Amino acid sequence: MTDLITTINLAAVYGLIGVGISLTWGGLGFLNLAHGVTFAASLYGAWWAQENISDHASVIFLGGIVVGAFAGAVVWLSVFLPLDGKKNWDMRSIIASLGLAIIGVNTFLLVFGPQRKAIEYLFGTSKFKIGGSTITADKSGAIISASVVMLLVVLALVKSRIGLGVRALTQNPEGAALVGIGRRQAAFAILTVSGILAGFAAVLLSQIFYPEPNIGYLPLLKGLIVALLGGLGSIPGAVVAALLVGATEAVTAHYLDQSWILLTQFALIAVVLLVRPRGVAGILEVTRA
Amino acid sequence: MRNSLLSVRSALDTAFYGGGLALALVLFFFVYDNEVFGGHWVLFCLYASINLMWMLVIGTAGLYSFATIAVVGACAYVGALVSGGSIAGKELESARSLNIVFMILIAAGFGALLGAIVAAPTIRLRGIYFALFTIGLAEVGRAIVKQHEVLGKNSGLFGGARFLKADQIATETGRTIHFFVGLALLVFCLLVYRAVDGGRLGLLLRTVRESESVARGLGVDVVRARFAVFLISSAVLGLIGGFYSGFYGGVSLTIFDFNTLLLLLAMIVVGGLGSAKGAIIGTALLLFIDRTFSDIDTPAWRLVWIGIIMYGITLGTTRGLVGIPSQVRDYLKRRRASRETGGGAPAAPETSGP
Repeated sequence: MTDLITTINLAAVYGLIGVGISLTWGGLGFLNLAHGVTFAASLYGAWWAQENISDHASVIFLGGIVVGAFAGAVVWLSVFLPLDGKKNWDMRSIIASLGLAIIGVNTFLLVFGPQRKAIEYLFGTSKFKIGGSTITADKSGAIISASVVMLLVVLALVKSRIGLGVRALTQNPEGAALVGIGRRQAAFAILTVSGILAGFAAVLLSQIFYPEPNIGYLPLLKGLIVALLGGLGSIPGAVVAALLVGATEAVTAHYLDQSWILLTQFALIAVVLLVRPRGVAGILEVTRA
Repeated sequence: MRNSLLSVRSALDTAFYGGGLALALVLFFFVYDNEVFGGHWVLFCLYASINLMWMLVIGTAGLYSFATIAVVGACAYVGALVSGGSIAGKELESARSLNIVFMILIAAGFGALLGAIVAAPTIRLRGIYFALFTIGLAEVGRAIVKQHEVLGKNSGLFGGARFLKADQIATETGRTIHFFVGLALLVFCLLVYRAVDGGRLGLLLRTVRESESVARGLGVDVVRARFAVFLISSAVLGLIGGFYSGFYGGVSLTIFDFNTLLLLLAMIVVGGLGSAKGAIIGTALLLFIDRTFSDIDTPAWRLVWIGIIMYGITLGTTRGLVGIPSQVRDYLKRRRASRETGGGAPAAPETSGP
């Protein structure tokens, strides 16, 4: 039972990061390697809000989310706008985002120093029991809030006009352009929403991933694993992949050791991708191959 | 016209490599006198060699593999292990079981084996999926080393075969040996690059890169061509891993550092993807910045500058520093065309397309 809760907890949070990466690739053909820095920036934003405004959970969440959205907008402004439509867009956008990530991480190091910062428990320290297993408020809070946010993203994609545009871009970029869907506006929406999701995930993981300059690397890797396993561009695929990744992580930590986690996750990737080269869903083979 | 263009290009190549060799010989005097400079030279030769092999995969074959550092690191560990390396060099000299030549050959063989393993998914995986599949391999290497006592865990594996005898370390003789061994490695990698890129295999790989279906239609054995390039480049990367261990007398976990992978990627992107000259120019420029800023009080500035250069060059150029002349030529051609048509022709900005 405890493993199951840990699995769902990790899956919920990794899912948020993976969906951001997946949406950006699916909609824009852009693999945003600055997503890890967005995660780190959000953690610093949450910590700053806690230190300077209030240590109330809502303020901390808001701090992380606002900074995450801002970081997404910075990526839009500094990578998407100057390079979209230019020669070698796919490779150059990856490298530019990598450059941005290097600048970001080291700027954090210069400004905040290498020391870890601490963020308060957001859902309190209480515990309760289900079927003999103890569940912390932090885990259950993370699962519920991440699921709600994920649901809101799906609803926004299905119901809103901009969501319709994003889905059109994901399925057929040329067709979307022909019917007048603004690529720049859609890109802005995708990157800021990805930033918000990364910010939300960062705050939810703030008891495991403390604010420090290099902290975004591992979440980026996990997000990439989720997005890749799910099939880049597919939200249902990312959700299934997040569950798979979370389960692998929980089971590995329980039966082997923490240090085996990446190995088992890469073994999982190898098996899934060799069976289904475009991941769990892989709906975008035609448009984004 | 085409022939004269080719001869100009060939003359420029000769000038570049001739000038580079002359510059290297001038640098020898600095290396001879200065231990720190000697260390920089070794690092330059190692990084430039790695980048040349990486360029074959990422540039010529167009396969976004990030397994480079993982292969070099794994082979350096194998080299250190078979030549008697142990944790923090405790059994120095006495445990040495293989001399450096055999150690390097074994590392190269292990590299080829790893190349075959990394190449296998290319049969099924394409583009970004393959990139993501390989991007975490260095982390896997780090995790394996951390779990095994025999690989030195966090302390590294030292005391293996090296190019210098104990009394030659930090001496003029030692620096001279390192200088020429490094130069020989770099020249060897350049020759391999030219043999593959300029040969039949390079032609096949470029055809596959441009259009896999056309290549298959022409009868190109795509799987075989990809396996060949991975085997060759990984064997040489393994050899470089053996040299790495030979230069430093062992290896530690830092070789799998993600920042090293980023730095190497920055080098080939800044220099220019798909060109040996790009790999060398990018390596020299970024290593210069990296080393210059690593000596100051706040080394984080070093990576900030590298990030700024990487970002700026990616935004400003289509093919890195070596692509600037052709970009300027294109611009002038467009401007001339625009003037000839009385400003009517579009002075097209850089856009995607053929």
